[in-house]
Amino acid sequence: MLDIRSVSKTMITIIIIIIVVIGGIAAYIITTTPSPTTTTTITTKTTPTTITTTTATTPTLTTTTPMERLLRVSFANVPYLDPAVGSDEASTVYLVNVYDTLVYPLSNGTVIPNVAEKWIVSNDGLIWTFYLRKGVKFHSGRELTAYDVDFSLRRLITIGEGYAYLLTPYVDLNKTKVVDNYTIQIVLKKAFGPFIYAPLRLYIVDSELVKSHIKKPGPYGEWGDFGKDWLMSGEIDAGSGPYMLAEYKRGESVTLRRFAQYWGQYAPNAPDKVVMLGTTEPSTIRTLISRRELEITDQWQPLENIDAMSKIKGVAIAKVAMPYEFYLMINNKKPPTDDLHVRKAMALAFDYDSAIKDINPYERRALGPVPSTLIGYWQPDKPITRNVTAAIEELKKSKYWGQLDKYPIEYWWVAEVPWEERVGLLFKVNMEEIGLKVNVVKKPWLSVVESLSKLDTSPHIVSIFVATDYPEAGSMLSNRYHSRVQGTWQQNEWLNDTKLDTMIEDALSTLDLNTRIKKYQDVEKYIFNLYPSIYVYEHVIVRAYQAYYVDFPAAKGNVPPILGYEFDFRWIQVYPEKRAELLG
Amino acid sequence: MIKIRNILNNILLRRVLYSILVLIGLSMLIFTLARLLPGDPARLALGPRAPEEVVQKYREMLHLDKPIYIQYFYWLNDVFHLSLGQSLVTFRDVSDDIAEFLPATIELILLAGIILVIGAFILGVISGRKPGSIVDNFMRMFAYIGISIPAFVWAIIFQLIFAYWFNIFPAVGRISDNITPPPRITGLMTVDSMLSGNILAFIDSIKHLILPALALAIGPIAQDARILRANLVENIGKDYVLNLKSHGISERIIYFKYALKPSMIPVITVMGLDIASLIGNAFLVEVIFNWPGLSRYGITAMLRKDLNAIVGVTLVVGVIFIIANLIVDLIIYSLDPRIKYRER
Repeated sequence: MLDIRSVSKTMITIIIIIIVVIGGIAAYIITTTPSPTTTTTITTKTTPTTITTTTATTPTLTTTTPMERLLRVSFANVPYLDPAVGSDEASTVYLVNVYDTLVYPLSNGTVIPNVAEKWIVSNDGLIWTFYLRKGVKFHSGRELTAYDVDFSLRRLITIGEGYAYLLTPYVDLNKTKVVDNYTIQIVLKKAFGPFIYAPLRLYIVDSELVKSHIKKPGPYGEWGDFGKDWLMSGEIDAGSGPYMLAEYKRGESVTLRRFAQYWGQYAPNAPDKVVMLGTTEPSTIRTLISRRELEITDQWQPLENIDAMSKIKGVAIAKVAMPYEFYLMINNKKPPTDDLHVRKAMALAFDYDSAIKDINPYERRALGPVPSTLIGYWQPDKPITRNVTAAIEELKKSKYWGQLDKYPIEYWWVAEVPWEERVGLLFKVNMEEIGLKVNVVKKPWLSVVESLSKLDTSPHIVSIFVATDYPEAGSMLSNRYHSRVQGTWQQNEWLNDTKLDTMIEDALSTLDLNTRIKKYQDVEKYIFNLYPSIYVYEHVIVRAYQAYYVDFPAAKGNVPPILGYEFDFRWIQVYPEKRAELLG
Repeated sequence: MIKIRNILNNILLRRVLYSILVLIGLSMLIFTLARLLPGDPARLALGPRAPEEVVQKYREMLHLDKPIYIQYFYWLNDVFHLSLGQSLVTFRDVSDDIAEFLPATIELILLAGIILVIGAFILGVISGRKPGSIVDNFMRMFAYIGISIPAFVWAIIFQLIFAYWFNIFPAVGRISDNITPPPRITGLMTVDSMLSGNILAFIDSIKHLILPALALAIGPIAQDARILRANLVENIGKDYVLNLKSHGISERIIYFKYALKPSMIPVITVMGLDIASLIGNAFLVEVIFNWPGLSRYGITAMLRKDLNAIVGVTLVVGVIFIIANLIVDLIIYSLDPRIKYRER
């Protein structure tokens, strides 16, 4: 018969051995630093070009770099890979780097030739003829021709998603045609002065490659799915841009690699590899920055995290002014805010300085209907400043004076943006000083969008950030104040002002830039005097970045005021030897 | 008639039949609830500036212009064709998304489950062995802390200590950027690494798994350890144990053989539910560690009103719960056959 005590001892011995083995394996795992299974040395070629831009200062290197230049940037999400689908920040950055466009923006908002060497416009502004440069190669090796531009345009407009809205209202596909291999004629339905910005969002795809991956049947008739499934799968890209898609980890990250045959320039120490990480979790971002495993953060970090990261050695804060504006959109049709005097009183009573100093110290004060970074911006001669006495005097002129308690004002803030509540509470306190009762209500974005579709369900005030599509004032004016955006989240004012509509349309159809600018400014003055909104912030994007070993042009203000171009990776410079110094 | 009775007498078969009914009911419920949420999913997916005709096309594609029961019929039809409909966020079939993201969560849950089982048993047994001792009090304190702190807070704490301060474990992802990932066979990084013989990838993927799995497992470990400890203490005080002691059987054998087995039954039930519920708790942990799993995909779907993805993820979670319950029941039947016969 088996001795229980010896069995127990045996069991204990076995358990101890197992624990020691597991502990040993664990120690090995913890202390092992796996060596890289891939090593890269990149040789960069000098590519002759006649284009000079204000963001490029030195020619490309021809030497082989011993250490790989790696740039990692975090975003709110992993990009959509199809140029006809993505229009969020991450997707736009991806498209800017992997695809080429006909034109390229400068930091002053104007555009210069890119894939198109030059273009001419007919006198009536309807026919835009683009002449393409020769020798531009796709990542597949094929040469880019006018047929690819034509295909990309038709594809974008037919699919109708992403940035199609910039082209669909204007481009007449029936009349647009390829003249020859390097010439395309884009015909418009109506004159549109800022049309030259629209090609900034026409990302040119390799038509042969995409056509070979079209699945049929599909929602686009003879074009099947237009290659959408294949492009979104992340197998490879169909671009010609300075970077190529190297790896797509769905839900996690996208990795890009430099394109050796790119026709354009790179900064001397431009990254060889770029990782776009899809996370904004503050603790994670802070950990990665401190471990030097992230070079530039996203723009969604809370201020506390930004401040904490700024104290890390070698890390600085980049403040990039973007053409977005934060409005308190006032309903001009609901009592009491349907009264001009009430709206003016509110604008005079609001504490703009406190909104910046105490809530968002990195933002800039907005003075008018459009941000100051836009071409055609008009600065008011007398910007609105807080003046409680003047506010009360203005309120006394209103038809609601003496009955204000019967008309409480409902103020909505977007639940997904917590700091907006503080702006709402500040507004409430300010309005109480002049006798206006305000209810501050938290609303999920979905509810806001749905409620703003009807006048009855729209609140008196809602606070929203609005971005522009192109760097002219006309973009913001038409996206905010034209009647066509009534019933959308872009306008709670319900202006329905036909005179204003006509002024905006007239400005947008003006071909001459200087005349157009003058008309924009007239529109802005007109809007300003209606007091339809309270202009709070011009958006300044704040990011932490590894200033010790990353040269980030946007941090110095050298950035086109258009979404995505802040991260034109070929102009960002990375110094891995300096990173190695920090890591000791 | 006798054959049908025999089928129904088969517990496993009965469970499967009930499960199918549960899943159908669940799908109807979540299908309806998702469509009651405010917001136009087509407009949300395409953005505010997409032309109305494109948005309308999407609505027609999703059958949103039809009555809800017709929409459900279309969805059910898709399910029979092994499709869960198109996701409005990823623009591809939800079943493809689930196939992509589920293995990452399964891998996380498996390791968390292993840690949970081992940890709960060790701590429960140690506590129950000497109730009222310093060790027991220490374990009680640990249990309170473990239960009261949510998984995502543990995730941040572990990331802070082990990835930020001491730089022992990686902070994000499933595998390091400088490691060649293994070819996708099962979708489980560790298993695929082993199958392809990529030891470096295996070690690296284990390192990436440890912190998130630990964060998920701590709370349930604390809870289940306390339940086991309570059951052990109760069973140790029973008459049959006294009877065994009077026969001279050693305390160690009484404890591990005669007291532990009946004490495990309620714990195993709770453990099964805990492991299944890890999939729901995993969301914030997956966000913190940038883990591309199903929980994160599911919450994104809910926030973006991705109708098909919401239903798809809910069904997958339902199936996981059902399987977990089934496994738990089978284990319990083997531990205590009386339960099986009672059910018959």
